Amino acid sequence: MSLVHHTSSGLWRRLIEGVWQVEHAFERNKAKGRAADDTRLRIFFVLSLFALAFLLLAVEATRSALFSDAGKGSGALDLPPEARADLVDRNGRLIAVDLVHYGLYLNPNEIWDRVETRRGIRAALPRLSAARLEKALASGRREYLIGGLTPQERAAVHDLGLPGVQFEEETRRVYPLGNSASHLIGFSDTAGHGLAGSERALDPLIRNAAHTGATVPLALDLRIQGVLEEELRKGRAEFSADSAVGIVTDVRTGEILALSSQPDFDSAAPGAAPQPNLVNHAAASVYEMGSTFKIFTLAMGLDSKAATINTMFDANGPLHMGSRVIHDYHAEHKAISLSDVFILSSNIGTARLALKAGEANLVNYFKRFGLLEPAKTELAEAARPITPRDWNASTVASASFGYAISVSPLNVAAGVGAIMNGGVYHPLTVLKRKPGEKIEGSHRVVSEETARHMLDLMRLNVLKGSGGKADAAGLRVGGKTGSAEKAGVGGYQRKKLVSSFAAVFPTDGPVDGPRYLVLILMDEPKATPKTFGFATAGWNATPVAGRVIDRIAPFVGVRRAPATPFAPSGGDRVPVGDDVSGIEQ
Amino acid sequence: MTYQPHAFARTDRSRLGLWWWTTDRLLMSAVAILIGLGVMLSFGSSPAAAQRIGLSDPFHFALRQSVYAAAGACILLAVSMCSPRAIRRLAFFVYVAAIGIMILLPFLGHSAKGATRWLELGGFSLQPSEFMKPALIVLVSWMFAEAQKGEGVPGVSIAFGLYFVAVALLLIQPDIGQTVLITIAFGAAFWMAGVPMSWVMGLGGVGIAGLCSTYFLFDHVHARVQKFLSPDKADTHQIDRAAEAIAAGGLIGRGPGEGVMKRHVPDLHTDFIYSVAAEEFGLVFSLFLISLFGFLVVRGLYRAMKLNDPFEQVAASGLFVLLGQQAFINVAVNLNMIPTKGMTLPFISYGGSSMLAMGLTLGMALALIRKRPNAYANPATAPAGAAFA
Repeated sequence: MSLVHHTSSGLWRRLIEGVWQVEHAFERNKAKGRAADDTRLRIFFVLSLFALAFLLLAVEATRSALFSDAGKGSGALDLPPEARADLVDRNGRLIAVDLVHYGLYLNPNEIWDRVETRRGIRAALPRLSAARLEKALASGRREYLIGGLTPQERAAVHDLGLPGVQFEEETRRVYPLGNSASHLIGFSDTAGHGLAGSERALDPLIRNAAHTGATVPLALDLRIQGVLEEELRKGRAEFSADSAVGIVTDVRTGEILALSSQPDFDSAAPGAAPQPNLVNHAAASVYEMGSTFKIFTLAMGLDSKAATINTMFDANGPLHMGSRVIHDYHAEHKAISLSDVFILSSNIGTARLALKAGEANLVNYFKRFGLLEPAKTELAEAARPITPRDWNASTVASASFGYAISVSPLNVAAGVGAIMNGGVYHPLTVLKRKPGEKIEGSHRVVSEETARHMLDLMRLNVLKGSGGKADAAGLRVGGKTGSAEKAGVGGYQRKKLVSSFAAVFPTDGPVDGPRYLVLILMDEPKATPKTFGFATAGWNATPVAGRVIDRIAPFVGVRRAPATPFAPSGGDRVPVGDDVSGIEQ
Repeated sequence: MTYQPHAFARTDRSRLGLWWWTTDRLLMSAVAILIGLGVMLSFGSSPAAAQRIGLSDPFHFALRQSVYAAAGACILLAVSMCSPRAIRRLAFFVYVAAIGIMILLPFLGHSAKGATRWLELGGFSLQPSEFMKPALIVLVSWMFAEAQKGEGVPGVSIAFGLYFVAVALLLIQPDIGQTVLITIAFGAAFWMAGVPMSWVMGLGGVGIAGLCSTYFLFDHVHARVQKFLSPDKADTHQIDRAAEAIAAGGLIGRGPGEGVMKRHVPDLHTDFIYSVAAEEFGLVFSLFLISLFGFLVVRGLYRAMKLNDPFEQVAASGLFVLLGQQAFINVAVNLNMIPTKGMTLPFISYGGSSMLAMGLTLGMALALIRKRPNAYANPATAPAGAAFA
């Protein structure tokens, strides 16, 4: 051996001995005449291994090609990343669904006849813009031309038999309901991200549910939604309101059964709608609500024991607050009881109650009603209320009847709902709750006793006050109107009102019994000959709410009482106490 | 002029005539079919790749692949005409040249995708390690055979020396894939040459330890193994798309040129060409492809087994092992049976170095298993594995 022998260490010696041994193992084999034969056996072994390996490949190839779930959408891994679960309403009706569409690709290098291609595609796909097509034709490479082709559209283009025209499957979100409930449903982008409404609010849930194949049930009831939208649309047209909002909730669960913001848009094509139509006024707009806020102030007054239902308040003459003067719409010029303050919608009385209870109480209760922060709901659109920078006698007085504080209709729905729900606040939800589900974020805001009083006051206001036009036969409707002057340049504007009506039905039965809230709001409704020149809530928002309640009662299972204790208010009589809460600076 | 029924008469003693009658024509046909399929598939799959990187000519890669295929075929034919002695000489020069270039790579090389493996030669990226593989296998087989003769040549030590030099240079690049390939082929050659079983055990242990250490030492190996072991967590874009493509192909495929995955995934025309083929031509084609490789390797090994000379036996077997393992690993990665390893499918994947080196590998292998006087055992007296005196 020509190896360097360096035997100073035992390790080296052993290593070299080892090498020596293997060097000569071959020799020994050869000497025994076994080398070639041995090699044959060993090659045969390798050969067998490879035969097995390739057989295994053939088996695996067969399995992968014929028995694989890849790309079939049946396994968690195979869904496209943009996959979203189906949305259904509370009764399982389809609201949003992923469907296979086709993307159209154009490869100009493969096109034989540009003129024929241009003419054919334009005829088969009228919605494709000519400019877009020209750009793709002029480009030097394969380009994505248009997406979202239905199978019919794909077939129309495919049947032209044009070279250079290719299709690839893509997932598209389909909203079969068109404009219906569009603000509540929202929409998602082509990459599968929810951008608005429930699609955005429930984005993680919807994407996860896609992997389990589950549907996501919303609290929405399409029947109620249909009624609400129809009546709201009619009402908005009749009174030429800039916009209108309708909300129906189940006060026992906080579920949003219907929500409409007019004008609306088509969830399938939000980009085609004018920008203002995309605003969900129910959540994203804040309003000074006016007298509707008296529900909160009176509940606070009763619950904080600042007053009882019979406490008398001096409404004799305007209330002077420094430089400001508070008037009543229907000045009574006398002392009136708390229930009359509500029914006559006395600003003076309400302000005196708030001042008596004190600023700490008012802020504390408003906070509990959820009026000082964005409405607690999944909807990302929920706007933050605009609240007074500091609470003093002046702002307390204003806030008590719904000025100096702007909240979203959802804030009002949640707060009023809490008072009408035996005094327990539930965050609003767009998701259907399971029966008996423990509702997170619930808390008591007023006592059951206060809640009972408020239910009675609401009912009385419909019977004797401004809510008369909402008294759907036999449904024991209660409610409170509000008509607030809109703030404009140089102060409040007498002729521009935000009218609202917060209704609840039925007002009788156990204080924690089944009960539904209907909130209707109109932005700048106009007077009509039929309303004798009035544009206040009792003339517009209130009758809309009444008609909605009349039609949805069967859906929510509220029976009509055989006889109503009081006759509903007369048709064209001016509702008592239909108020405009005015503030003079 | 006499009538000739055939291009090469049995009595034709010319160099070409000899070659025709002594070469294994079945293996030659299988290789020819493979090369043809490779060119065909590259016309189908590579326009998508050309488009992605913005080349105006959609057949940029396909035309190049055709040139490589022709060159590879020429190398294969030329080398297959050599005698075993010439093969040894060729292997020696190729090995020396390849090692020389690999030593210079850190200074001259072209880096791509995190490794320095390529030498730019006038628009052509040469990967010397591809050529080093078959040369190394032939050389070590030769050395093992010399060791057996017992004439004082320390063949085993020299073989290990050659191997370690190659591995060291590969790890500098770093190129774990090639390291694994030559380690397996070297181990197979060593084992087939007749190493005692106790050594097999020991070396097996060292091999496993080596694989484990690459897992910890090299980030990209680590990432790939992790990806294979926990597919939920890692980004398995390529392999997922490959699985979808294979499933979409089904039994008879989407049809030529109808594949869509090739447009979505980078590098499908190289390492994942199998999936592209499976999507467009279906299981029928995939099985044909697998059978072709299986036939090549099994028949090649069978012929090598029948040879008499230990050097020829081991060298030919080693070369077929080289081809077989590379085909197996590539298809297995496509079928998600083993972790992703960037490895070309011999003769099919796009790539010049790979194509030319495979021509060299198969050329050497076919040359070694050619019929020669006394090259083969008498079939009547020596069935497979039987005693041979």
